[in-house]
Amino acid sequence: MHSNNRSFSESSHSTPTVLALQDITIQRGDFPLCEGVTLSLHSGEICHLVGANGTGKTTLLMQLAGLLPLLEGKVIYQGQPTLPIAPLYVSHQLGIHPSLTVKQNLTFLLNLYGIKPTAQQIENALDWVDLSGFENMGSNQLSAGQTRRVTLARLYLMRVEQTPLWLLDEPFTALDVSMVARLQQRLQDFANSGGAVLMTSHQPVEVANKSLNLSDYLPDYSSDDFLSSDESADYSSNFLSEDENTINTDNDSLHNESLHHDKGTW
Amino acid sequence: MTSSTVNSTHRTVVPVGITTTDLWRREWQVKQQGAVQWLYPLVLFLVIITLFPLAVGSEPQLLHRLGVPAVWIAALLSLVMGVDGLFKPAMDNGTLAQLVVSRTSLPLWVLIRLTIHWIFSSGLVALLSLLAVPLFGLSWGEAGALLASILVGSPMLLMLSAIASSLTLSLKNGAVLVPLIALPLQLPVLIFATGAVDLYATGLNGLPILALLGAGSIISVLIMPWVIAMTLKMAWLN
Repeated sequence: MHSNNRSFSESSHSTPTVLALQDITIQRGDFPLCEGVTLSLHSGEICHLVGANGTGKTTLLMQLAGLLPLLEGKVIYQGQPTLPIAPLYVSHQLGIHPSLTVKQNLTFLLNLYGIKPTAQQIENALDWVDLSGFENMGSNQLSAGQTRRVTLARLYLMRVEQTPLWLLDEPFTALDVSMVARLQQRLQDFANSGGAVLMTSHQPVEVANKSLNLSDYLPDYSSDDFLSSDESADYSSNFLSEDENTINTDNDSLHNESLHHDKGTW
Repeated sequence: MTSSTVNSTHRTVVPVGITTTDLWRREWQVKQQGAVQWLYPLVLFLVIITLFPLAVGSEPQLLHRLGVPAVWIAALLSLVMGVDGLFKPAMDNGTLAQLVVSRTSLPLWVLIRLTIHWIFSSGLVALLSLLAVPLFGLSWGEAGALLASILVGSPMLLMLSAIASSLTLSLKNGAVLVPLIALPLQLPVLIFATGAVDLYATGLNGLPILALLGAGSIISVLIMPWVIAMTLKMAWLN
């Protein structure tokens, strides 16, 4: 355990906590990837989840999304010990059915959060991702990048009223520079409206005002047998801007209410 | 970030979620677009019941005797073969993940998906079973009893196939295992259904057996979607 150097930077505590994690163990099967992960994510914060490959960034997002069980630790979501939470989750599993049209797929992805988009809204969302005119095209005719844009188009229409938390796993993958810039602006707008974002990216996230480095939470044996701690520290430090303040997570205030997740979650 | 725009108190957001109608529409669209996948088992069914008369030759009595079991075996095989794509595509393309994350009721989704699959598989197989009249020389009454037995027994067949399909979801060649798991469980349905039609053909009352099959199907439909939903969630653990 590395409690003395576990750290994340953060911007403000003046806004309500959307998501709080306390002593979470990230694990794949029986293998713990990280231990004692603690985070408090407030409204208006965009948290960049960093760490070397294999430290469990994707696994943590899957655990929070409810796709993998959370065996150890406490989660508070919107002030309540609630699991599974219902965030927006964008990952490599896009939710795009290849035989349906772009419009049908986007409508379904929005329907999942109770949004019934109008034709104009669909058009605007697709225009935002440079897929204007692709409404009735079969999704199997799209390139990988275009398919990814379809699933990202819903970010344009999602509001904090539908879900205050976005979990984004490598959202910039396969996107061009201008689309990445637009997406970052959208993240900023969502945060400004009271939402919170927890995301992974191997690219710098300019709009991030907080970061969590999972390399600080590696179990001891991992640093010897599985991953070089020096390498992981160098790798992850590239994503941390110099002006970000570092604080000790032990001082982080978590809501008193908590939920302990045991093996019966699923 | 402008902190002043953010509400300082907790604002709990409870997602509305997708409606049953929207779920139904989505699954209907998927089924319509994947016509080849649901047509293949039907063609298999037609081929089997057509080959029987050709192989047996001009022996009307033997054909008549073989009619009900042959149609039922063909129906059973085509229904089992057709479940390969029940959950695997939804797992692979991430639909299942999005359903879970958005807290959509998985049992409801499973029930809707299976209901639409049943219409396009068992429903059509039941209709096609009427071809037993010209092919096997069955009377319309016998063909009607055969159709009823398929309609009543097939929900249980589908549920058993679906549980086998969901159990093998995370395996690389899981589709091969589905018939091996499902068929032994489905044998009682075959025995009861053909028995009921035989009773009708000999002038006896086959209704109690059909009622028993119906009860089994109702229980399956009530319980299995929950069991299948649990096994689908477990698929990520492997």
